[in-house]
Amino acid sequence: MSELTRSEAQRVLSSRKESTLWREIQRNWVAYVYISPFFILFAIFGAFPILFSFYLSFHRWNGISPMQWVGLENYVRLFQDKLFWLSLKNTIYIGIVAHVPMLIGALILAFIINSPLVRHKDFYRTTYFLPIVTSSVAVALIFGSLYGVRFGLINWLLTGIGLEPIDWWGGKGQWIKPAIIILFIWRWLGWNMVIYLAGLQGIPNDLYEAAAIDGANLPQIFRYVTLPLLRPVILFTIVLSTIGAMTLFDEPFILVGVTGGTSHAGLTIAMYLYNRGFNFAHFGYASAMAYVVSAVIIVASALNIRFFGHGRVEQ
Amino acid sequence: MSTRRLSRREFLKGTAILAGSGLLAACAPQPPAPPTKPPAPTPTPYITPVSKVEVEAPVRGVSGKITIWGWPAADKAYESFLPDFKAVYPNIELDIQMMPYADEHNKLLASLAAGAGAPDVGMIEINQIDKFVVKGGLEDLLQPPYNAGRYEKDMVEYKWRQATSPDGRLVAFPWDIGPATFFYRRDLFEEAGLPSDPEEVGQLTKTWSGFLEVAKKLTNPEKQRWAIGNASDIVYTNFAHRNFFDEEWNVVVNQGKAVELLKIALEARRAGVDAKVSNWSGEWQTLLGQGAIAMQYGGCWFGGFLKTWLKPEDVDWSGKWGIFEVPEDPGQNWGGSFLCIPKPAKNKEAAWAFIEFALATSLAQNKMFLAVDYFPAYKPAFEDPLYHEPDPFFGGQKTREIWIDIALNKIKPFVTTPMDAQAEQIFMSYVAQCLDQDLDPQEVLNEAAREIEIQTAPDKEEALKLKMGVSK
Repeated sequence: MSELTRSEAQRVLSSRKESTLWREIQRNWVAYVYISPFFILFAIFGAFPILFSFYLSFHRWNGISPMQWVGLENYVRLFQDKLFWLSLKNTIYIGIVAHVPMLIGALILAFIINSPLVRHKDFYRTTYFLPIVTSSVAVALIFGSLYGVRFGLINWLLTGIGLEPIDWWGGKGQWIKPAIIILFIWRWLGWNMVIYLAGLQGIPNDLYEAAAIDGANLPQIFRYVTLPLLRPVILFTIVLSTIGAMTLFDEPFILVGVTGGTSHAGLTIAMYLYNRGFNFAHFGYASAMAYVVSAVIIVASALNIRFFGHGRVEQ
Repeated sequence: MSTRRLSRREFLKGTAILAGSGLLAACAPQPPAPPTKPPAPTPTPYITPVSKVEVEAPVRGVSGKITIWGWPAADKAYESFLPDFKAVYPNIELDIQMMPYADEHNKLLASLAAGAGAPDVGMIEINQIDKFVVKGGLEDLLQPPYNAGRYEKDMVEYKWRQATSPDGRLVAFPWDIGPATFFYRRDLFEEAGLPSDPEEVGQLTKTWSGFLEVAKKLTNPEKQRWAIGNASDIVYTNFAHRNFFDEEWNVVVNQGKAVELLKIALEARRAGVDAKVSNWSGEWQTLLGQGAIAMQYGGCWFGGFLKTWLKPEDVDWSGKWGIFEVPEDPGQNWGGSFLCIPKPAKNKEAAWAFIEFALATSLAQNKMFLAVDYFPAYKPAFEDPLYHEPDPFFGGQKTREIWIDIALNKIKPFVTTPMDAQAEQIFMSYVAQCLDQDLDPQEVLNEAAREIEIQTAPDKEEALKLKMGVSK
């Protein structure tokens, strides 16, 4: 009897390891049914495309004809593709030049708006946030008339004060990147500012008061109280920005179209991917590009976390 | 305390107004969509009605519902002959679904890839036809029960060829063509002290050097006036979706015509006769509307654009425009569409009945032409007297006669390949680069040829497999 129970117990114990999870699921099936929609949708619209696109990157496929296995051909062609390197360079350039001043500006703005001296905080918050909810068609129209070469508002102002008009889309395309960057900063400054503002409001007031009593001036408070406590939030915006920069599409697309303007000066990696995938049905090639971009994003994010996340405050 | 509350309420009001204006902005009209011919021209009132009615109804008694996809103004075109169609095929029900130009092609491609959800009749534009000719997914219209081969002699030759795959299938049926000319403003020519009569203008612009002379006289930047919108159009005259490859599919954009035209375009740019705006941009539309551009290259459908959405509401352009042929090489084409039957279509018999009625009868083709200015690829339609009527919008010029003459007699054979769309994008990028940076045309085009060679290689390989009849 005792032997039997012993072996029984052993059997149960050994099987337990494998089946606890399954048993738990069985016991709580109702709960799992309730959370299943996310996982089902993610499997269909998230996981499947991600995996399929990896599979696709080793194939030649135009969307209709049967897929052909081509091994690493897409990757080899990609690394020899001048436009790919150019678009990668453009993307990184625009990403850095647009984001560094934007994030700094957003932080300073948030600090100012958060200070007790400023009234009507909600008004400023809403105003700075508005560009994000503006439809991109309206943005395209307005910036199209701002940047016009012959009838543009900016050139009208410049000639009005006796300066040379800017040839926005011509020459070597040297004005295309600034045009994109201005539009980008206008559009996303408020977004980051609101995130920083939320972070600032999480910093208790007594810390500021204590600093003030100790005789710290405003820059010192900013440097030694605000910045360290805001570090997790800053890291968050930097990671988001890295991803946003690498997938930049809307702003250049509405300004210069799918080829990125003269000399492809405004061509970003996402636009090039879109062009090859959807305009010319080179789905395998576009998938390979997507995987290379993902790798770049992962490496950049890891570097950011290492660099900015060091000694971070646990939330 | 109370003042603070008040300001808060005011703030709410303020944001509501701002949000409202944001909404308004979101409702603003869309910018002009891609080239060729998406927007919907309204029926033109100044053309005489169709006089000749001949319906060659093949198989009657076909029935069922068919789904038809397209982009505007195809719906207006179909409506124009619907009663006639109903009279012949009372049992066919049409479900006409319009969507934006790019969406239609993407959805069609997706439905073919999925093998489900495809319409019975799909519409394909010339810039997109490449994507479809090398692929399966569309019915070969030369096979029974369609036997479209009997219409080959009735169709404009190059149009037929564009829809023929390398292995000899006809994947789509020709709808319309785009015989192309320059459009010019008579009043601006007169202001510049030039003759405005089409005959005389045609004489002056017989050669490109003559064209440049005229362009220089028309240009006056002080008065915001330029001869053309963009100098790259001069190159585009001969390269609208063709001529990038020779018969053996070798890239030829660095020789002959391409270099010659790019040199002329560069001369035009250096002379400052172009406004340096890109076609279809908002600024281009403004300049055109304000009479700052005196000449514009376009397919015959461009006349429909001028009559409708390009014309500012407060001006009367009637009688102010004229057309003249492209200097030195007048046989040019830009644009045009096709109809196709996807393999997964459910009612192919009725779909073919519809396509045949719409595109291979003079009645339907001419009614559609009157409604939306889509110039028939179906040659028997040209026998209608309406093609010999003067058009008051063009100051009484017999523009349609000129376009027919171009389509039938002047266009020389040209080469189209399944790689043209990508080749065109690369080619025109290099053309713009040459003009914008004042580079050496030959060197730039050598680089363009190299790049086209590299980038189109996989597609060319696939197409060649089909051509050689090698099955994978």
